[in-house]
Parts: sequence; structure tokens; C-alpha cells
Amino acid sequence: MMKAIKTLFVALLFSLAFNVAADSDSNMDPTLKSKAKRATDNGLRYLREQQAEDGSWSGSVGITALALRAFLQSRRHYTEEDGPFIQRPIKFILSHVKEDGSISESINNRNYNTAVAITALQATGNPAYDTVIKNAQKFITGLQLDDAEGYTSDHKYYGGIGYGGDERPDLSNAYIAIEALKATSLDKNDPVWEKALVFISRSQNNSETNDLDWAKNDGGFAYMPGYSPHGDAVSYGGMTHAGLISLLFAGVDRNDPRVQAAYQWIKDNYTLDQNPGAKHNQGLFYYYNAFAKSMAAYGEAEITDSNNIRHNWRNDLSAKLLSLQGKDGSWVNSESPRWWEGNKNLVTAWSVIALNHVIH
Amino acid sequence: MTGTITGLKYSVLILAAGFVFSLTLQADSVSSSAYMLINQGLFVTLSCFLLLPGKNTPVNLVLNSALPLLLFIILSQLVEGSVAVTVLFKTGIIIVCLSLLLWSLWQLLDAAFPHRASIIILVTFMAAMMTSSPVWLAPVVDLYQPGDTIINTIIAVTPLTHFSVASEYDFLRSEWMYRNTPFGSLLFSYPGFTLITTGYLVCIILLQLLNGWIKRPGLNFSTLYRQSFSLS
Repeated sequence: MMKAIKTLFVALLFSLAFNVAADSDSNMDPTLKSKAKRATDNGLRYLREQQAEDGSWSGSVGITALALRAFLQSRRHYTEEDGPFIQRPIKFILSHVKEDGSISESINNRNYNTAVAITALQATGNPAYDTVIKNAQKFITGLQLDDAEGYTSDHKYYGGIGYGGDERPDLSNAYIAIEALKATSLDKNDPVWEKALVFISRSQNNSETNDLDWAKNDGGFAYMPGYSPHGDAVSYGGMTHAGLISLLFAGVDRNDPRVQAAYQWIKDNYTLDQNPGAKHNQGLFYYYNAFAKSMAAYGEAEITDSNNIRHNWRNDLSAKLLSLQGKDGSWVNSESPRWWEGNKNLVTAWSVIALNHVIH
Repeated sequence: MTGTITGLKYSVLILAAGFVFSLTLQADSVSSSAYMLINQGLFVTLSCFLLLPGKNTPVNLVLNSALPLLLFIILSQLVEGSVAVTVLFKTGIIIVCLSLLLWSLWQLLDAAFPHRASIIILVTFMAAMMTSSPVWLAPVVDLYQPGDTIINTIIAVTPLTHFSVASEYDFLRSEWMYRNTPFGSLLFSYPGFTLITTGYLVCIILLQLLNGWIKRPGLNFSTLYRQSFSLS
């Protein structure tokens, strides 16, 4: 009996020590953390109010999956047992499963929709969705451009993944696909990772590791090889964080020159007041979402920028998102509706997911 | 004969424009079979409209709308790779619908106005403007950032969308369109195939009803038109 009590006591001490260590690791301001927690609650409340009768948000598989993920991965750890507000969106997602494995309500955004749908289904932890997830994985990997579609390894699009309604790949779609494949534990030896890395590397402004002529040397990422919607092939925040996540999730080591070059760009362009490198703050909340995920994946609590100023990214991101939250709990990009950022449901889901990464 | 020569001239222009457009696309991407089908569909529909002789009879309407379908079936055999039967079937329906619409509009204008040679150019110009609207409206959309309803309406009325929906091809995210127009990066949805075909049928029926009303005994619209111009 005494032995059992001792064991329990030691376990409790370990657990306490681990929690303290975790908190000191993140070094986050407790007041901000508390406010961030409340902000996620308010964001989730807003989403709950906006949910349609069929459980969807904005009638979109993609937005529904993101909102569902925001609930499932929140500090409240909602599950299917919590009620119809979790069960119905799952049902809505499953109602759009197609024969080819895709999960989408339309011919456009098939990759995005399918990818975020399986990421959300995986987050439920329910094995009943395993077959749907496996089929969707096949659909996503089937979208990757390779020899089967007539793209040889020297083609700039080789290894890329696009929206799924045409053949033009881009880093944003590739990143979402990679995130989904990683979340759903696709075999690490699957050739899809290696091919994806070819495309990701060719989207980076880093001539040391990019074999295409267009690449400059700031270490950031463009939207696709040789093109950025913000002019020429400039690097910008949203894509650089998407590129960093893609590299890390595809199994590249932190010390790899591609990762280090991307991290250097992030240090050189550190700001949360705008999406650095982007026109008119387009894609601002996409940037915040990718920023939170990439910083969490990289694993450093603080960033020292090129002016030698140290930043706790969790504090900075929380403060920025708190300042932008509407009274109703929502977020929206008031400067530009590009890339759907005029849609409150989508932007709120992204912001809650970002804050979930901050407070965990 | 004069009408055919004029049609030929404009067919060459359309071919040239299509060629330049396809060169722009080819510079960066490999054309998919869907993209080829969309081009073929538009090409046969507009070429037949410009080249075939028009008569204001129901038989002519049906024949002139069936011929581009036949041509498309032949041309589609040249497309590399496997093309789903449903895609061919749906594209064929759009070709017939668009042809019926163009000829119905032509018949209506032909009944109402005397300048036959100008009518075909006018209708072709209207069709070209509708087809290319995502391109020439791009700067306006960029500048004013209209709401989802306006964006979806612009997308819904262009024949490019109709052919794309039939081919299950996301044309607004294709290389050239994505780089040069804002539509692909905005919140939009393509209309469903049933909605598109219903829209076409409603327009065709309305045009035919108007045509019948104008041609009814006792109402000589063409004479009225001439008289109004001579008076002024």
C-alpha cells in the first residue's frame, strides 16, 4: 500500500515538474495566456452561433472542417460526445465523400477541402473514419504532379500539388496537403514526401538549395517556383511559414540549410503588424495561422530578430490576435477579402487554431 | 455569300486570338485534356455560328446547333489521354445550348432589324465579351472588391464557366487566369451543371417566344424600325 502511495506521489511530482518546465519553456505572460484562452472561448462561441442547421459553416467542407478542428483541438477538448454541434459537422463532411476519395462540395478547392477534412476527422480520434481518411490520402497523393502526369523531375512543377481542379501546383496547396498527410500518419517512406521536397525546395528563394534560375537568396518562400502574387517572385510571410512547416513535416532536419534559410528570413522580417512582403495585408490571417503552426513545429519559445531583439512569439501573436478580435468574438481581415479573408467563419476558425497552438 | 466571307474573316480572327491565348498558357504549364476540351467546345460553337448560313426557321435552328456538336465529337478524338464519357456528354450539351442561344438571338435580331451582316458581328461580339468577361472585368474587381454575389454572377454568366463545369476544370485557378485575374483568389463558387442548362433553356425559350411575337401577322417590326429611322 505504502509502495503504491509512494509511486503515485513520485508520479505526481514528475507531472508537476513537467508542467512547470512546459510553462517555463513557453515563457508566456500568464495574463496574456489567460486572455488568449478567453479569446478562443469567445471565438468558438461565435462559430457556434454561426453554425448552420446541417452542422456546416458557410456551406463549405473546408471551412466546416477548420471550424470543427478549432473545437476539437481547443483547450476544452471537445469530442463527438459533447453533442450535435460536433456530430453534425462530421456528418456534413462525410456526406461529401466522393468515389475518388475526395471530400468536397465543389470542383474547385478539392485538395484544400479534402486535406482539411481528413485533418479534422483524424482529430476526432474515432477509428470509424479510417477508411475515409485512407481513401482521401490516396486522392491527395494522386494529385501530386510526377511522371504519371508527364512531369519529369526537372520540371519546375514536379512534386507539386494544386487545387485539384487544374494542374497548376502551388506551395499553399502543397503545405495543406503535407500537413494533412502528416496528421494522418502517412507512411514516412512513401515517395510522396521526397517528391514534395523537390517542389518545396524549388519554391524557396535560396539558390544554394534551389536548382532553378529564378531563385534569389533571402531564404523566404514564394507562392510557387518563380511566382508570387505580390510581385515577381518575392518571398512573403504566409508562404515562408507554410514552407517551413512543409519542410519540417516532410522530415527535413532543423539544421538543414533550407530550414535555416527560412528561419533566417523569419528573423529578418519578424513582425505581426502585417503579412511581411504581401501587398495590402492580403492573407494576413493565413499568415498568423501558418506562423503559429510553424513556430510551434520549430520548437523555439523566442525568436531573436536581425536587430538582436528577442521576441516571445506566443506573447506577440496573442496580443495581436486579441487586438483584432471583434466584440462578437469573430475575426476578419478588414483590409482585404483576398483568399477568403472576408469570411468571418474561416478567419475565426484560423485564429482559434492559431491560439490553440499558442496556449497549449 | 457576303455573310460567309464576313464570317470567315472573323473565324480567322477568333482562331488567331485562341492561338495567342493558348501560347500564353503553354509558356508555363502542360495543357490538360479538360483545357483542350474547353477550347474545342468554344471554337466549334463560335466558328459554326460565324460560318453557317442562317435562316429564321426552326429546322435551321436545330441543324445549326447540331453541326458544332458533330464537329466537337470528331475533334475530341484528338485529345490525348482518357476523357470520361460524362465529360464529353456534358460538354456536348453546353455546345448545343450555347449554339441554340446564339442562333435564337440571331433569329430575334434578324426578325427585328434589317442589317443582316451587322447582326452576326453584333452577336459574336456579345458572345466574345461574355466569354472574356473574367479577363476584362479583372481590373474593376481588383479595384472595387465587390461582394460574393457579384463575383458569382460574373462567373456564372461566362460560357468559359459553363464549359469548365462540364469538363470539371477549375479554369479560374489555371496558370494564366490565376496570375492575371483576381477571381481565383476570391471566395467564389461555380454554378451547378443543372442550373447552367436550365438557365440556357429559359433564355432560349424566352428568345423564341419574342421571335414568334415579332414575326406574328400584323406586326412588321422591320418596317417599323425603318420608318422610325427615316422619320428621324
